[in-house]
Amino acid sequence: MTRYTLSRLLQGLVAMWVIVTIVFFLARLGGDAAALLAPPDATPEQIAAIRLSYGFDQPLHLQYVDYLRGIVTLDFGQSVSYRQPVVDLVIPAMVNTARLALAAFVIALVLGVTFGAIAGVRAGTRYDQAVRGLSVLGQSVPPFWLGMLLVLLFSINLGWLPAFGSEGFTSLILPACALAAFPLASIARLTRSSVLEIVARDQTLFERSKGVGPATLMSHILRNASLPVVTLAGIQLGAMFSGTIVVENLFAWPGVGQLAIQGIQARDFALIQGIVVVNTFVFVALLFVVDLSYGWLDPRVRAVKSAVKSKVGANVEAAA
Amino acid sequence: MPNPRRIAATGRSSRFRYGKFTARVTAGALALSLVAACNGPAAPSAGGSAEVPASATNQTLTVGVATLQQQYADPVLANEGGNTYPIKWSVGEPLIRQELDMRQVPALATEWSVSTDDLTWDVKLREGVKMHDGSTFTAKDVQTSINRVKDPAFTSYAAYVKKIASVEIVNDYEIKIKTTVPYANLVFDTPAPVATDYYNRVGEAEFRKKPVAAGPWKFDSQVFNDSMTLTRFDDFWDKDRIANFSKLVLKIIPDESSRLSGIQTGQLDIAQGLTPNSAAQLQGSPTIKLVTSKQASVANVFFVDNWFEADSKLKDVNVRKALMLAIDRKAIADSLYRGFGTVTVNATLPVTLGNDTSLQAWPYDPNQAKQLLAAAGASNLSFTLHLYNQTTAIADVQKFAEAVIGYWKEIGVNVTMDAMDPATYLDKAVKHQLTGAVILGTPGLLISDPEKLSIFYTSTGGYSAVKNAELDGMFARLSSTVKRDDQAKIAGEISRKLHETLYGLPVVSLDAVYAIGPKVAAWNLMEGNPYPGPFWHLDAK
Repeated sequence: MTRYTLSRLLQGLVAMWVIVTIVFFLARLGGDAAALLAPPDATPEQIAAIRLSYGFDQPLHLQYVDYLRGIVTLDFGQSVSYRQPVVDLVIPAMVNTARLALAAFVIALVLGVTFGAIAGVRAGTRYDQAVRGLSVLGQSVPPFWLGMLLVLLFSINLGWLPAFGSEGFTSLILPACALAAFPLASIARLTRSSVLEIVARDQTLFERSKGVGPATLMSHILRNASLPVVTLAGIQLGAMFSGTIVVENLFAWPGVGQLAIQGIQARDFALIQGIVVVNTFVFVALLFVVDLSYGWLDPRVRAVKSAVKSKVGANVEAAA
Repeated sequence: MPNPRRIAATGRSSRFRYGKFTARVTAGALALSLVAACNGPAAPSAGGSAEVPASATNQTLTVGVATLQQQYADPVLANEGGNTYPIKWSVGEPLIRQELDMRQVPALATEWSVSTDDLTWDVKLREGVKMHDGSTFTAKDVQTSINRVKDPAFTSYAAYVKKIASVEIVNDYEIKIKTTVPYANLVFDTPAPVATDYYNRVGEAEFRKKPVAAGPWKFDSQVFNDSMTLTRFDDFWDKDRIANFSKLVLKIIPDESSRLSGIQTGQLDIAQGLTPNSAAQLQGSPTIKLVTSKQASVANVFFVDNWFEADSKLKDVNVRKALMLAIDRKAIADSLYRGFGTVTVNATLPVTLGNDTSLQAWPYDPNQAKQLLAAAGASNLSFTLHLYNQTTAIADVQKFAEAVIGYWKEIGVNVTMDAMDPATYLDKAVKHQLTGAVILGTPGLLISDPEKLSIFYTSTGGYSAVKNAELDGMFARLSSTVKRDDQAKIAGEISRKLHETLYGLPVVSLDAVYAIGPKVAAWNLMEGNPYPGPFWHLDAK
């Protein structure tokens, strides 16, 4: 398991390195990176000052080393529009986005798995049809539209929940629901089909014939059906971290999505670069956790790793 | 010191009535959608009145703003554009401020005079003024502020710093500022004084986060990208501008529909930056009032081909005149802007110093427009109209462009629309990378000073549309004249010149529309200001 973990960690680091390298070279492919970092009305003196302070007058390989060092030490430079270190802007925004994304994720996972699993074991019933219908709807409804409807109903007409803001638990409910709709529907559909497949296996039939209780049987079914669901959930969570822009804007949620919009509008390249790198890190970290969970959920994954290791060892011995 | 008249915020007549939402959620999102589409919002329950209590029952008011731009808490840094001004006006108190009718009136300066060579200003300062930290305001606070902006980080003061030769403290309440060139707006443009001892103690970085100045509101706290909270400064020198409530929250809500929801649910007490369509949705409410800042900005079309050497039909004044005559501006003001727009007479507004009120608005006359085009040999005229898709100064800018293009099409002019994001657009406009015509808004607040029109109408202006030696000369004379009356005369000449040459078409002027909720007792708005604030004459119930 340690080897498996380390290999996944290494893959994640390589992916990170590739992406931050692409970001580095993209910034320089556009011409004068100092001009890119400067505000639109910057004078030549200001651009020259930026060139000096960012080391753009240095050879490219030295700039690259400095850039990597900056990322490792969480130094993404200074935001030209906000006049603050980028990290001071991105990290609090990322924490807010994480609150929203995790809340939406919990809603999507709990309800998606519950609805999907029940629909799977009660396939063909009206309940199953309703879940399938609502899943299609959930995947079709744009989050901003759903968000507006939720505000209209629960904030304006019923007055139960705040229309926007990030203070307290109640302000989290509507944006989290708007954000959760799509992944909830996806998870419910995948859970249903996955459960259907497991229910049809001989193993389940055998357990039933042995008189295994419904709760135990369900736990076995769910564990076996969970691998594709975990994969999808991990990807959806990553997408939520980087895809909350519309919902954040609608609900005035001070997350990384809003910050990204402002960074783009202000052509604040250092800020955008910082957001891209942090988002990449979050996505890669989430996929790493998903990969690790495979080994925990499915012993075969660990077994395959061990087998590969033994086979490689045997081949080496044979070659010797 | 003038005592501004208190005017209660008044609502507009009701156009639409909304029924009570009675639907029940019975099944699924489709049903919800239909219910939502068929029923309007219920009106808030509280009522509005014109009475202003000495101390309000509601001690907190929340204002929903579209943006505070870079969200600087520091009132000196908050000079980067109109959307940063709410902090500049609230936390800072300048030497001279603009009154709600745009007149320049004394604030922390009581008197000022300039030497005969127009290069040395002697400024007498107000005594007995307290800063937010309790320290007493003196001349060194002015000097500290001027020294601060010499740092290139204060980009918006670059032009100011360039003209400053020296700053000399005469005594605690008198300061001499020498300039390198005559500088009419020197005292007005001088940054708001900051508390020197506090600044020296905490340093630049900390000061930017927790500024101490002398404005009517103290900076309290900030949640980045979310809100800025200010508390009333009870020791503010001008008692007329002290509010009757203690806490003002500026809440950043970029989405207009969310600001609308906020005022409807009572989460907001004021919603800024409403488009006419959104405003129309609120006109049925008995408790939510709409208030406007009249002629807050002008929606202009500038013919930027006049800046280039290359030949262009748009360089012919008769062609430009034809393009002006072709637009039914009243229809745009009444229909697109639902009465929140006005047909403009000129590039200058009534709030602009020296505005020539004898000028007449260009009429709508498509037949004459066709004749002028034919006579100029420009019947098959075609060009590109560039615009940006979002600006505080022009509501529904894309629809505005479509309307103008539509009118031009009726006289046979073929115009291609090119909409860009603001950053790309403004960058290209500044670098003169756009040809044909461009749309730019001119805020009344900006052009109340006629010299600011040089940005658009002189060869070296930031967004210049024209190279014209006569106009360059007029603006040069204006900038080197320090006496207000002389300035007004030159500004009048400029006003007439712009009216006859039409390098830019001032199509319509637009009101800034705010919705105010039942907790607001009164709010006096600054005429000609498209940006949020100032919150000097805002009172709660």
